[in-house]
Amino acid sequence: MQLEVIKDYVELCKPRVVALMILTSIVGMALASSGAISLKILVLGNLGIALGACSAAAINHFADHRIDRFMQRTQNRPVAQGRISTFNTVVFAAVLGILSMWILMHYINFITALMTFLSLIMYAGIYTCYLKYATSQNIVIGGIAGASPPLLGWLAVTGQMDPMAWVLVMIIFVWTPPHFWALAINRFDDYAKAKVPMLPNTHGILHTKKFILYYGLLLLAVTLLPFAIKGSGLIYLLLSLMLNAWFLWWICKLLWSNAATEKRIARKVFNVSIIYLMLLFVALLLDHYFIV
Amino acid sequence: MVRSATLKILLSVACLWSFFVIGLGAYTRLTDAGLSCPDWPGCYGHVLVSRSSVVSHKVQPSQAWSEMVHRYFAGTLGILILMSLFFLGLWIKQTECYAPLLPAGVLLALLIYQPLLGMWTVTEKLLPIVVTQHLLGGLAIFVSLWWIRLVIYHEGFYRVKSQQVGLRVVASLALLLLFIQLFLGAWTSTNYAAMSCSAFPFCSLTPWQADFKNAFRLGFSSGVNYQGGILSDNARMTIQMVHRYGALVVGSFLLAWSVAIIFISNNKRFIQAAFWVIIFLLLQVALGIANVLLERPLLIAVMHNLMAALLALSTVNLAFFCFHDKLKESA
Repeated sequence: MQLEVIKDYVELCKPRVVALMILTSIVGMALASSGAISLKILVLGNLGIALGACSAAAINHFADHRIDRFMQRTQNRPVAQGRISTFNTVVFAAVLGILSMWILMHYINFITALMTFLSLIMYAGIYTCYLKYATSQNIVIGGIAGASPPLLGWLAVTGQMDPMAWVLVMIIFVWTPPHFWALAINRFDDYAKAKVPMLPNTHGILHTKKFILYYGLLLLAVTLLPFAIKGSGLIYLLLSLMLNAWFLWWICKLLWSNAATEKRIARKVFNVSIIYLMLLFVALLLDHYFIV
Repeated sequence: MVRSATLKILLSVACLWSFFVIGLGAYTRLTDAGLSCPDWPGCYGHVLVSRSSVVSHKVQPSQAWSEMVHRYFAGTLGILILMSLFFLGLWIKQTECYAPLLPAGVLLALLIYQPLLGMWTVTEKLLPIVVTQHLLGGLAIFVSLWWIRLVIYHEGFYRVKSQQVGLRVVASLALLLLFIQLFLGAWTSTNYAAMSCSAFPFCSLTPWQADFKNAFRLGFSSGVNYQGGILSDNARMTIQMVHRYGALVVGSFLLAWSVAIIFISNNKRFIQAAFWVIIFLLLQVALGIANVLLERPLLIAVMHNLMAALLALSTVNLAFFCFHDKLKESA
């Protein structure tokens, strides 16, 4: 029984999402450091950022607990099912949030704490409670919050906002629409039931497929930027081109799919997008530490 | 015959315009441009910043222009407000809904008093009690325009009186506390106490070192130039500390009030209103802390002023629903 409760609280934190964010934050820290990353910053900085992201995730569970019940993907979530009360969820989120701010202010620096806080407000507040229901561009605009971890990691090391940090943010920002829209095609009926205006529901699946392609092409251009501004070298360039080709191949398959296969392929595109981002950031890391 | 839609658009435009004027006012004050034109309403007697005054009086052109642009936009706001009040009058006659008369009266009074305060800001050389009222007056104009808008949009509320006495008491208390904290913020700014204390969260000032008497002296001595502030370091630190403690008390109250409403209410309008209070409150606290720890960069300071306006707006908005709408709609 105890283990089930712990598992539920962990689920409130959206661990897989936070893990991917921390990977990108570590890469931000690595690219900002000449040589090895300071252990204190690596551990305490990421702990602070992770706790903040977990806090925001818990608020998201709270805010969405009613509509989560309508969607197959989310209907078994702890608050939707009543396994954790709304009150406990809010308290949990508040505790994590305060802890996150304290760690970042005390051990890292103020600007990291401030930008982390603003990202949380953007995601848990503006996106979850307002944007989501206001426009089909909801995840495009709200994506800036999820794109911030590389900048947060960079700020934890240097305290300054350098161009390379913003390039990393832009990569994730441009990646976010194809990532979420692929999911939205796969979960078309869920979002229709929950009455959330995702692009496939408001403008049709074909329109969405086209825009996934446009963003995929834009992503190709943006992922060239690290090399273009001389933040990264040939290793990154070659790996990123291969990854982009792989991603675009699956995006094209989605575009050419028909009504019978599109939802299955959309799910595949979603999974590919996650591995794509992971490997892209690993490529940045490899390039930074192994000079040809 | 005035269409409701025309009035609503006019009010929205005036409201947005007043928000912009607040930003301009903050910018003028924060770039020390408030006294760049020693007369009012002209600048050295001219409508525009003329080259002759720049040369002969050694005026800083960018500062004089900041001040004059603020005045131009404030002047046009005055015209927009007059138009709104005129159309509002027609609307009231048409609909026989007299609820907007109270906020309209407030707005009319402000329309006269605020320009006077603007004039005295210059002629009394940034006397804190004048500049404070001028800042609060700007916020009051912004909020009153929104208030009228709320009344127009929710005409139907006035046919059924809401019974929630407890909720109305809490809302009144929230408004009072908000007003006090806005006053403290303005007082901090007008006495140049914003950067008196770079430590966070506490100042290096013990309670018995604090100079409450001088910190909150509201009276005035004429002929003194208040630019840069005239108070001692201790008095300024006192003002800063009281503003921080105020943020803690008022912030906690507003947060508890809005979170409670989100949990208790099943009325979508209430929940949305409470949500915006929470968002603006959290952002305002973050900006306040950023002002201290980043040593009051211009952008953060202007945003702190604008966020105060938004916080005031959202608090009045929520209070409006507490007074006129039902917290729990019967299923």
